[in-house]
Amino acid sequence: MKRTWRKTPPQWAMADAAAYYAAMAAKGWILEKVGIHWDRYRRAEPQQLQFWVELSLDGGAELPEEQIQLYDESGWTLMAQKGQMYVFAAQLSAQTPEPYAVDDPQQDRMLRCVQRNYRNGIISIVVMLLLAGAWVVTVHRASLPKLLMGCWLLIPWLLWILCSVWDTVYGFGALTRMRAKLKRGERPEAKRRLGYRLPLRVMSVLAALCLLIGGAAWISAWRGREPLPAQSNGDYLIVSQLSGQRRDEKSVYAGMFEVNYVEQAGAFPFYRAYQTCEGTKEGEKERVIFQDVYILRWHGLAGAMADSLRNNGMFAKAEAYVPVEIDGLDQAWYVPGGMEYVAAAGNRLVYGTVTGTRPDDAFLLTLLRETAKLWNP
Amino acid sequence: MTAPMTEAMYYVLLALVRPAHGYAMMQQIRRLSRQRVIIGPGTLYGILSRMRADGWISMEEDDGRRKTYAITQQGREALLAEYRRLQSQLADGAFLMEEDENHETDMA
Repeated sequence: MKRTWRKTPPQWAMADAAAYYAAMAAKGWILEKVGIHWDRYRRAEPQQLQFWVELSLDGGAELPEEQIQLYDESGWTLMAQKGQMYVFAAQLSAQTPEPYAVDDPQQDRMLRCVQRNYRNGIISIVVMLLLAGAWVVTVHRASLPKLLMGCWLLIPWLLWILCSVWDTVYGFGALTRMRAKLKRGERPEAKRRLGYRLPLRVMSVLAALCLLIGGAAWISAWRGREPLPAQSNGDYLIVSQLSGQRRDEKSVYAGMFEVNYVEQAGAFPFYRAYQTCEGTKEGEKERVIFQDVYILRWHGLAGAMADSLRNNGMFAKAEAYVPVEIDGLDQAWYVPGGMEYVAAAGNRLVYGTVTGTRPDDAFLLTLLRETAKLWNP
Repeated sequence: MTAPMTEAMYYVLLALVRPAHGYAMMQQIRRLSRQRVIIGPGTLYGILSRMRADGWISMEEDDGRRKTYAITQQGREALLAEYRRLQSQLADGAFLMEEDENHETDMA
């Protein structure tokens, strides 16, 4: 059987949803299932049906059997149900009574109930935004590169949250207007007009664009793991090229984990990144040097990224890093008696870690100086 | 003194002078009002719930599928009070009919 899915109309637009279901039925698509975000329709002969969306009011409990029975006996068949929402349909006929009279206080109770749901929704969203804000601040403090890496997912997620906020706030306003209409003795109907739809469409398109562009950029930047070349590309250091060093393909560490590779990734539009792992030998000293090199699109990011890298160092605390002045580097730090260094120059940034034979400070300073030379040929 | 009833409430009580289930009530109301008042299932269910809570009607029978309701003594008193209220409203407005008839005579 042929089926199709359409976006579920918001709960506040009950009359609008009913009209939409009727229009679909007239086109030969009969509502089969109501979902949270998507409704399912099955193919059938086009039918002239009228729909009614009913909500159970008693604390989210199911609609009483007796009420469903009454609907059924009056010609209204239950078509679909999801949570509090019940959708009934009847043949378009003058004999079928409308479920409610306009002056029915039950209508106001129903609107008040939906309004309460929306109010709770607004509270939930505010709490969620506060939590998300706290999370972003925490992540920013912990690891800006990771936050930027995830931004092409984060932005669509934020836009999706914004859509929910817009829908909820608009819904709350619409329900307030509908209750006012009811008090004036008018039908409590509200339509999803352009003013409601346009911001949602714009945000959806933006989110989709972010996903597409960000995803494509990430995929195009991703190179996977490749053997570390003998020559540097000008962004990362090949330590085995330095005086007294040679490439170590069979160090004890090689048995523990893979060495001598480079990975390329990117966080569009913020940076491109290389991660290298190189095994070296200097006499009897066996080392593995890791470099995370970021090529930033904006120089302004360098300071915050350098802070974040030191705060998020794998071994040393941020306080352990000591600044050092090196020609050709805007900023440089290393951990005396430790294993890490951070350097920034122009739009380039490196976080390096040396494991294996414990490096002396001179080796870390050599790596910083050689990095400066590499970046300032 | 009780608040005036809505038209739907009045007709539901009127229909329940003889015990009936929901659908029969809807049909009875149509007959009683000569097709003028059509009560929908949503409105009817709401009224039945409220009237049961107020003690104006009681459930006579529940066969699992259908519930049969009947008016209680309290409900009957409320219905009579409403009937009297409507009757006195009609009486108060009776002069309008006389004026209307006189007006028609003058025109003739």
